[in-house]
Amino acid sequence: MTIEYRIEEGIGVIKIIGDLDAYNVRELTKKFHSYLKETVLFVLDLSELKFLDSTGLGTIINFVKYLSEMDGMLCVVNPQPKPRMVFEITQAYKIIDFYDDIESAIIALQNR
Amino acid sequence: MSVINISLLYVEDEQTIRDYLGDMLSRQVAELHIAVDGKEGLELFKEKKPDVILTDIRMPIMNGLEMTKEIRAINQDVFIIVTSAYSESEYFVEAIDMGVDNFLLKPVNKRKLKHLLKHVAETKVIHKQLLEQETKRKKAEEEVRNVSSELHKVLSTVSDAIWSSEMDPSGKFNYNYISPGFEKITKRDLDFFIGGPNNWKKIVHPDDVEKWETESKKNMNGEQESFDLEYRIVLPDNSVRWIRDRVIVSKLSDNRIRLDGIFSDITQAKQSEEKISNLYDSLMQELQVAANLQSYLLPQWLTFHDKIIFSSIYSPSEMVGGDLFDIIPISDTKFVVYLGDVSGHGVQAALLMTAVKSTVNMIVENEKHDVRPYFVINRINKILSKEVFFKSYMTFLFCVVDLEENKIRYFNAGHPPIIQFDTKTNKAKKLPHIGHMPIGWMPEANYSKDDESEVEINEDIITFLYTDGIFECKNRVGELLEIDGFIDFLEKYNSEIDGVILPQKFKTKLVDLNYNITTDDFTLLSFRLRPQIREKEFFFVRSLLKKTSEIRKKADLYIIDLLDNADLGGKIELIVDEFVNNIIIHGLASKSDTLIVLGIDATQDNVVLTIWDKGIVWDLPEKKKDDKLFADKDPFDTTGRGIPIIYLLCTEVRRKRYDEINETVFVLKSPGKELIF
Repeated sequence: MTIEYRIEEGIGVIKIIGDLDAYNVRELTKKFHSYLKETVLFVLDLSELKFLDSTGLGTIINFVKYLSEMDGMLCVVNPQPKPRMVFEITQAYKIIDFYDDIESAIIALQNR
Repeated sequence: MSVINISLLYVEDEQTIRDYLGDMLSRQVAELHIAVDGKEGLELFKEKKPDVILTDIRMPIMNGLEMTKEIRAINQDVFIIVTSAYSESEYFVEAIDMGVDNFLLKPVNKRKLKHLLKHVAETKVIHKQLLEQETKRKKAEEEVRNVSSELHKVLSTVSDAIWSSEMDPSGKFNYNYISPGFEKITKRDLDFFIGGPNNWKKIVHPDDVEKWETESKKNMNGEQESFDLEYRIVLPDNSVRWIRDRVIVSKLSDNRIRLDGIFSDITQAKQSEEKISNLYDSLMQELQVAANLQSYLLPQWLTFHDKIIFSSIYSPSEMVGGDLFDIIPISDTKFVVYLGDVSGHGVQAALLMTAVKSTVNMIVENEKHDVRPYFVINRINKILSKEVFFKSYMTFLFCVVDLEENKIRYFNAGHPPIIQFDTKTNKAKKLPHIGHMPIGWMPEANYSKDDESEVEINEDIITFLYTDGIFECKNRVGELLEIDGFIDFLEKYNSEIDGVILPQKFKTKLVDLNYNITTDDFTLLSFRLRPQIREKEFFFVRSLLKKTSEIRKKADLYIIDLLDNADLGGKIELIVDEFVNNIIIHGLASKSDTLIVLGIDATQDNVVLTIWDKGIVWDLPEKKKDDKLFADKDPFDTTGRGIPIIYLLCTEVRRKRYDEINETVFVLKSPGKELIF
């Protein structure tokens, strides 16, 4: 798993490349906590995420939950078929907003 | 007329009176002696010892009073009656001084005399009874004095402390007795003990005060009739002693309670107990280490190669055992497989097993270029007979499995025969029992090449090697399974006893059918050529989270390659990932055996995944209906989605434990179940 991070128009864009699973979730959590120093609005770019399991999903849900308490927000962009299947099966779309591209997600976050 | 039961001495000098009264007395008293003067009276008294004397005063030679004086000097009890004329009244005072008991005036009134004698007789009876009672009492007192003195002597030598007390309703103690043992044990004087439970509490060890107080309160409240507790006390020099304190409680009248107790110093016994317990613990720990080491020496439950799969089960009857086996690859297509049973079991057999196994492996290593079973057996016998086996021996089965020629070449040294089961015909058979005597019987024995055997194998054949623990197990009515029973068993239950954990399923079936398999070491090794078809595949992984991705990716690629179905591959990848993570997170039972095996059996219609693990027992959660699996869940929950995901992707999930191995089966319809989103 590789994590790329940048700030775009005041919004943190986190891109996860590779697999997010029980083995490497801790690494993402650690980095996420460091990003919180700058913003509470995030876009999670999953366009290059190959695999997501329930532990990885649990971590994303944990971020969503935490940010909502901090008056922040996290949107998910462009999940590929395998991770998309996990979001769909578990009905995570009920609490996470999905967008097709980063721009739409940023606009949505700015206008929330 | 009744006779008065007394003896009487009548002393009278005047014959007329003597005859007159003597005649009457002889009819009225039980025994009568007559004397004519005081002197004769004294003589007769000494001789006859009568109860009563009736005497005249004035008599020749010795008068009545002189006689009375003499008699009183030797006897205080005899009743003396004096007869006198009124004119003799001057003697009265003197007579009283002499100790005369009564006077009768002459002429003697017969009725009065009779009355007096009756009174004397009655007094005599009462006196006699009193005397007897007094004697008995004195005797009893004497006995009590003797016993008490003996008891004190005994108690002063007893090292235990014995005490007895009474407690009144206000809680005040009165001690009846405390033996010297108290001072010996507590090194405190008796006044300390008399201070009662409050004083005692001060010397109870702080860690034991609570339990002592709880128990003694029950005594004081009358909740229990006895008390028996082991606890520690602290002596004045701060040393600690263990005591056993026993008290018997009895309720008395007026709400008083009697407490009788004995306490003993059990420090030495406790120290020995502790030493034994520590020794036992350390022995068990060492044995556990030995058991772990032994399990390292043996192959794990599944040994997997490209063309062959070996499965095994090994359970010693005690923590360690004397069965040994190994699978040694000589080349890609050649394997040495051996199994031995060292006589006896437990630690001795286990130590021998270790020595034997290193020797065998060393010999095999040296002969690797051309392993000839008879030659290896000869070497083993020579070395072990000389160096290791003295009173022991070993049955041994040594096989070379050749996958190029599909043959097993083997030598059987006194071991139960190989059994082969043909999955095509459902028939099992014993291989011919040629071979030779067990190893260690004769150092000079010659194990010849002619005693070797050879048998063919193919994909349908499962070959079994085992020790006698298998066929010597008994069912509930005491019937042995025996080798023929083993064969029948395989033929009868072959549909249940299959797959890669065949030995575990075999053992589970035996236990289900009430066979007792705990009396001897139980080892069963089976092997089978891997079916060379693409639809059946096995993958293996170590129990580490970072390894999960390897096995899930292999499963995904395998399905894509086999069925050209990426969607199904993705689902299988997710199932494998979720389940293997679950096994790892639940923890594996043995860190030395962390193998997780995935079997895939795929057709165009469905895919069956089987995962085997040697983890702890845990059950799958209850399966809800598909549309309820996530609808009822709090969407912000960060855990608990793994198994529901699997349930939603599979048409069937089942999990069962066979001996130490869990088998979990997942069925998916191809190209995949229609999901409800």
